[in-house]
Amino acid sequence: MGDASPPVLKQFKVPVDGVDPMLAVGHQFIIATQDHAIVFLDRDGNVLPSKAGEPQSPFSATAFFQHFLDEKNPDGSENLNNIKLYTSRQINEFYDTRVDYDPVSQRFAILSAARESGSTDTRFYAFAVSKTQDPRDGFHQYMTTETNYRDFPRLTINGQLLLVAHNASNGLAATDGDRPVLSAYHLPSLQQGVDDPPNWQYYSSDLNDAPRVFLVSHRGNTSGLSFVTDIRSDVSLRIAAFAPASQPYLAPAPIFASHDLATAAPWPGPFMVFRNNTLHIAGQIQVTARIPNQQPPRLSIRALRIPFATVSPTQIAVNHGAVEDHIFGKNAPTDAPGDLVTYEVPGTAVNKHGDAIYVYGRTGIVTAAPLFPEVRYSVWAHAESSPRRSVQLRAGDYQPQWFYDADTTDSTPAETTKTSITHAFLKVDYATAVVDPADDETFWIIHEYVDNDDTSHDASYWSSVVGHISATLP
Amino acid sequence: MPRVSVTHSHSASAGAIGALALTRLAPDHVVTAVRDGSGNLKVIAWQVGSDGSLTRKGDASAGAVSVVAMTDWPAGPGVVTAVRTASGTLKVISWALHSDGTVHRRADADAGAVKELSISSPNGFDGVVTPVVNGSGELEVIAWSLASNGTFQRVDTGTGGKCSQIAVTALSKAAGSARVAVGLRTESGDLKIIVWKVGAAVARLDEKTAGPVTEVAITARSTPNADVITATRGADGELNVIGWSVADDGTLTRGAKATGGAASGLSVTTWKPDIHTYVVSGLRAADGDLKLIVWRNGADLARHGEITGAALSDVKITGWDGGVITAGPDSAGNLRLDSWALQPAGMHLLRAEWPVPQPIMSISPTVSEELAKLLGKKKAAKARLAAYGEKFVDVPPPRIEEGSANG
Repeated sequence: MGDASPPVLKQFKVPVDGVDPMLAVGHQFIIATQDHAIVFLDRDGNVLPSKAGEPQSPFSATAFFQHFLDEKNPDGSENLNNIKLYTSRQINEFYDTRVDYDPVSQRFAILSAARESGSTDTRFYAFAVSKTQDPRDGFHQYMTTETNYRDFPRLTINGQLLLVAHNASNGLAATDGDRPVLSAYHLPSLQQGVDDPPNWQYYSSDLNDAPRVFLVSHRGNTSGLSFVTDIRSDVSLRIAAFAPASQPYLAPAPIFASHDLATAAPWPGPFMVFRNNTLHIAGQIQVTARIPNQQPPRLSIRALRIPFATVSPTQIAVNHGAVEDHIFGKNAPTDAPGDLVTYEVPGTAVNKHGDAIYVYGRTGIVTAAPLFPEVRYSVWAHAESSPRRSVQLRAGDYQPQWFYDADTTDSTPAETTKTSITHAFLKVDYATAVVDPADDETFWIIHEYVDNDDTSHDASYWSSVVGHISATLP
Repeated sequence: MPRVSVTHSHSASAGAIGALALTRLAPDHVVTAVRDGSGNLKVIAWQVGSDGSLTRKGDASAGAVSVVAMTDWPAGPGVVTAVRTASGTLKVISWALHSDGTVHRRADADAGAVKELSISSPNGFDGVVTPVVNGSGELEVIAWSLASNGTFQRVDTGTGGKCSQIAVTALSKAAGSARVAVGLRTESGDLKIIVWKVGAAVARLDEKTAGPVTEVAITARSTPNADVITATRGADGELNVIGWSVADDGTLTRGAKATGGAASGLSVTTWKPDIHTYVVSGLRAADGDLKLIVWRNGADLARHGEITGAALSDVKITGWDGGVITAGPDSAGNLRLDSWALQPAGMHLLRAEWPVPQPIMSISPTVSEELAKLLGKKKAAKARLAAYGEKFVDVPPPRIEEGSANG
């Protein structure tokens, strides 16, 4: 790595805990979420006070979507929007919460999965679109009534579409059946709060038997296209794109492209980014395997810039010869020679210059000095061949220990000695990076670290830190 | 579940009929072939407006018939009818539809005795295929080439066992060959599907059987793997819909099954408004009324919509751009056509607001003060939205409640 990444402009701790930190930055306000929690913030990290008597955040996702569980309306009439009218399952938990901000419509969108706690056979999801750019002004909320959903929902907004994707139950279209893998909702209708907004779905068979798709955050000119990717356990990165159909309730015909990644594609975070005709992806890859009872696996970050030779409403084609593929996980400048460090759970965003930021967690595996679970970031400038040296956003205060696999269903034999917990071990699904909509060049990032505020030093709940990062390259 | 809204568009009628066939002639016509009140074949063209309106155009007649089947002839353009003549033999007749809507007989050809008949014009074959139950009660699949002037030449014949209730659908072309799938009731009363390659020779590619049936209807979607859908009336009188995938080599694999209650007079077609194909079955319900049921043609065959229409004693169905068209004899025995508009309605979503709006129960001196406050808040909200350049949406005031801890 070359020169240093840009400095931190501002940072603050987020008053919600969990394992899936996510951040949506608006022109004036911020929403941060964890798997089960939501908080409304100003751009200095202060929790927004109640504005007109609405509930004060932070609150749980279940509290936010509570009315879908209520049997009665406030006036005592039957609540026909009660999900329990559609399932025998006693849905009582909203989780796997995601958030996004659309700089064009200036709306926040929040998504949560819904289930009966402890059950796995029936799941729905609910989503909400803010009425203004101030989340305290309220949200129009919607909830699915069919349990075709499985796990790990994803959300993004592009143009007039709010897109939701999710995993399949077992990741295999052949055995899971031809199930929906992507739902598209008509954003203008959602913004108006209309009943039964137009929507359509792609099934697995519509996308070359994709078992799931990953969403893309679109910025700048996309030629009217929305992109999704299909990552399986092979070396092929499958890309699909579609332009809106003539009517918002019709599913458009997708167009396809692919790229051979030589090795299995990294598992991405909540977003890839399509900007300036280039698809940006970041994910983690395993470098060394776990040694049971001794140390966790060691991972590195794989960052990809995949430019397109053709992007039109009727054709997309990857410029294969210009793809940039970079893996980083070597030590930071502050590390001692010979330190072995794991780099995990990256999030990425790309600004108007084409510069990409990667926020990730880092933990020492074998180090001369303790390196507790911390948060760092690197910027890969558009004209440079590799990411810059990382900057620490927040150091970890201690090293939690636990059994990596204490259950023989996951590990045989079960571990008997606790080892260091890392971000991936905590089962953090992702971190988030976004570009500031106000300037389209500075970055906001959120990730998890361990701090002494949790005096119990519990292994399961870490803290989240937000950073506002300069776009000025040193 | 995802839904398709089904609404009635327009109706049209004609005189008394017996046997009936219906086909679409793209882009904007449907054609009925009927045994008219005199027992003769009559072919009538109908123009379908963009709103589903049905306008009778030209017609033409032929001799006495007892059974009628019909398929489109895109190259004509026109249709080809297959009929059982008064003498009990098969006759195929080509008909051209002129741009002024008039119908003109082109040519015909004859074959042997038949008890039942069906006809299809698969993509990739310049002609038609007539699966028939011959005078011995056995299946014959006859391929006829069709010249541009409408003349026929018999090409080849494939044979099968004893059967009844035959139906045929065209499949997509695969490996350079045109294909059809024939659905039938075997001698033992079971459903059988046979896939045939059609060209200079007629060759059987694969077959599969299912349970007992008393009626058979069949359709397919024009995808590369050409999924076939059978709609059958079981021994219990209930509608069963089964999806079958067809590999390029014709291999059949059974897929999902759906049911539709007591039914007779079955007919089935597909409708493709976007990248998705829907299966639409027209049937005569237990009360004698027409019923349309829409399923998504996927692995699940999930029911997406349905509607009930006027009483018909038999039902034929075909597609138009905006949905489907049904035809059948009405309660007086006259021909009735109906166009039905279909529209995907997506997944049904529940709807809520955050914060949950609270009712204003009554106006009292104390409440009125609160109301005044709320009205003031509305004014403030209006001003706030105006600051964003957005329109104020008047909703009931929010409930005041305490936030809960993280869940």
